[in-house]
Amino acid sequence: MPRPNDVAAPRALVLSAHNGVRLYAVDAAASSLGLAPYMTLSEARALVPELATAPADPPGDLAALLRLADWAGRYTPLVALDGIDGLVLDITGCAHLFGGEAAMLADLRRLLDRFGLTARVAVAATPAAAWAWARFGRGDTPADRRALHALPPAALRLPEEMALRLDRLGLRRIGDLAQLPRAPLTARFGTLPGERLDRLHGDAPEPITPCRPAPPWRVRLAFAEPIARHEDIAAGLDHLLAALCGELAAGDQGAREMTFRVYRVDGSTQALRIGTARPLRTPGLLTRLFAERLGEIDPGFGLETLVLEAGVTAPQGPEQDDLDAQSAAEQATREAQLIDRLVNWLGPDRVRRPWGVESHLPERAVAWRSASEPGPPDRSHPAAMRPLRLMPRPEPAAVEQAEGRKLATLHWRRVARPLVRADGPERIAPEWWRAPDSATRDYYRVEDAAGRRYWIYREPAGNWFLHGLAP
Amino acid sequence: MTTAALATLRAELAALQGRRSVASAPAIGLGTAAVDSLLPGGGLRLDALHEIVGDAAATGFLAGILGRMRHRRGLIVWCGERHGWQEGGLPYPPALLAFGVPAERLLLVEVDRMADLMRAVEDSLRSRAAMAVVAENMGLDLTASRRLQLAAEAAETPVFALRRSQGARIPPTVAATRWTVAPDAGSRWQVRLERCRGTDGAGRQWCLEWNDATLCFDLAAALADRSGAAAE
Repeated sequence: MPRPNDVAAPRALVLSAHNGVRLYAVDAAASSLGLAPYMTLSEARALVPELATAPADPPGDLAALLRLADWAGRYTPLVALDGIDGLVLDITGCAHLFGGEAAMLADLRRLLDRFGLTARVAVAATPAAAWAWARFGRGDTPADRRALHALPPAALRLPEEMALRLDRLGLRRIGDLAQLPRAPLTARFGTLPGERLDRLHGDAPEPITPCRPAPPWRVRLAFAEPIARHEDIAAGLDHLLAALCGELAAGDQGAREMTFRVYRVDGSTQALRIGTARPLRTPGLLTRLFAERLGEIDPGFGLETLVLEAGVTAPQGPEQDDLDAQSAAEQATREAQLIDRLVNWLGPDRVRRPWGVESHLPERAVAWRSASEPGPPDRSHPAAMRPLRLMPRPEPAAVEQAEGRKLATLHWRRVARPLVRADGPERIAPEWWRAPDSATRDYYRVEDAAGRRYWIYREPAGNWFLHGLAP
Repeated sequence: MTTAALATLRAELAALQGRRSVASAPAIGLGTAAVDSLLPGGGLRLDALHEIVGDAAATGFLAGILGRMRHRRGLIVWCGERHGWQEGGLPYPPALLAFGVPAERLLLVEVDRMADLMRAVEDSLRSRAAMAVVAENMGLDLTASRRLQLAAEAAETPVFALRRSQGARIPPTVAATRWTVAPDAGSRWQVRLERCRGTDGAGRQWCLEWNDATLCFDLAAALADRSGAAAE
């Protein structure tokens, strides 16, 4: 529901029905002027001539409510639609993750307010009590049963007409109904009031039907400060994978399908789903499966909650994966030990691994960084047209050109090498923000009479350099 | 005595000596039947020392072999001296990737002295963290090569000694294979199998080129075609 405008112009949404145009929803200003849903538009206009109206969009509202239900999955996987304007959240066992029921409710209220939604929220022992308190109570939660009993019978979710009849009989409070013997009440009003009372008190179960079936394998991670960097998202996912795989292992299960859900600060959600051919619970392997798709996540203004669910699982004994995981872990340990040994012996600068870097310049596209630095090296892009050997620094060279500007002889390291073949130029321009210290280069792949292949380039000033050797 | 019985006896003898028989050792082929059929076990043994002699072309041949081994687990430890790299250039990962080499698993180890090179290679083998170890410009003689061969055998990890010394005489070693690789026109190589323990394949020469679609070495057109290629 849109928040009432501070300017307090009364507004209403209208819907055409077979019996004329009627109000569908009204804002606070309109409500205070005596307007209510179901009133015909002509009646409303007679009362409040300045009423602003817009057409209602019930399918759109339902879609929005479903999106809100998705978002509410950040609190609990058990979220159900309640009518056309309500949500029921089963927070059993979830509230402690948010620091208790009161803190959870405060968080919910704060975020709904940020989305610009006017909402009434309550927490109670049963769905019926929460429903009643959210609509008729005051405060977060009914203090006790007496507080609930002070609410009008309409809070039992009885049909309007029945609530009216009860009211006429002087039964103005739920407590009045609760005191009546059940038999005459049933004789007069049917079984509904009794059933509703039992649900309110928790004497009869009230199953809720979640929008999504709750996966039994689910872990979540919430952030005090929203995250947006992909490294942080990846780190969060790794954390969740480790946690979920631990739980799966404890249950002798492996995941066949996993869903990674992210909750953005603007209330929207995104999900990545992966499937596996065989049950898996090795975090490293699952990380790799997600890694390719992680770039699809658009964090917008930030993510506040990450949730990882194993939607489909299958029994998985302790042996096979632990063998994989164990040997993978052993391998990682062995690699780390070798790197440690070499680094401690030779020094960190002399034991290096390649990191792919975004750069057009060949010497910048790979950064050799100390292997003692944490983090796996990036993968750079394959480039068949590049030389297998790159000189640590481009070396000055000279090229004689025959007529027709054909490259005839390469002079490098005091040896003249007659050229039989030259391909190029391939123009490589440094990134514009680095322009001051580097010039555009025209690269040629040349081959001498002995079949040796060189990678040379010319700068605009006409200087030649040898940069690499091709196999 | 039949050939089969002889082979069995040889295998038993090898087992008694605590050594793998030549045929049962895992090997990686070049993907070219003409070459692989001449190698014991159908390829380069993965628990042995191999020597590759030549310039940048030799690096290309090695890159192809490493690319064919890409499914093995572990680091590619590439050991060398700084001045050697200044002379011949550093291996360049983007180009290695084009050979199928998992270049992100490269570990470049720089040493100052020949003795350190031996130790770096031995440490890497002993760690069992490497899928292959490359030693650049290592002055191998009979003794040093025997040390490396034994270490490779124990670790079941191949060592590739890449040496640039062309022209100079290379002392004999116990390496399982020795190849010399020379560039040929049009991104091809003249690959010569100089030595090969266990078969009589030594002395053969092929014109090979790398097929980056199949990640195999292909037998390039026969020498007779060279004149045509050069004339293009």
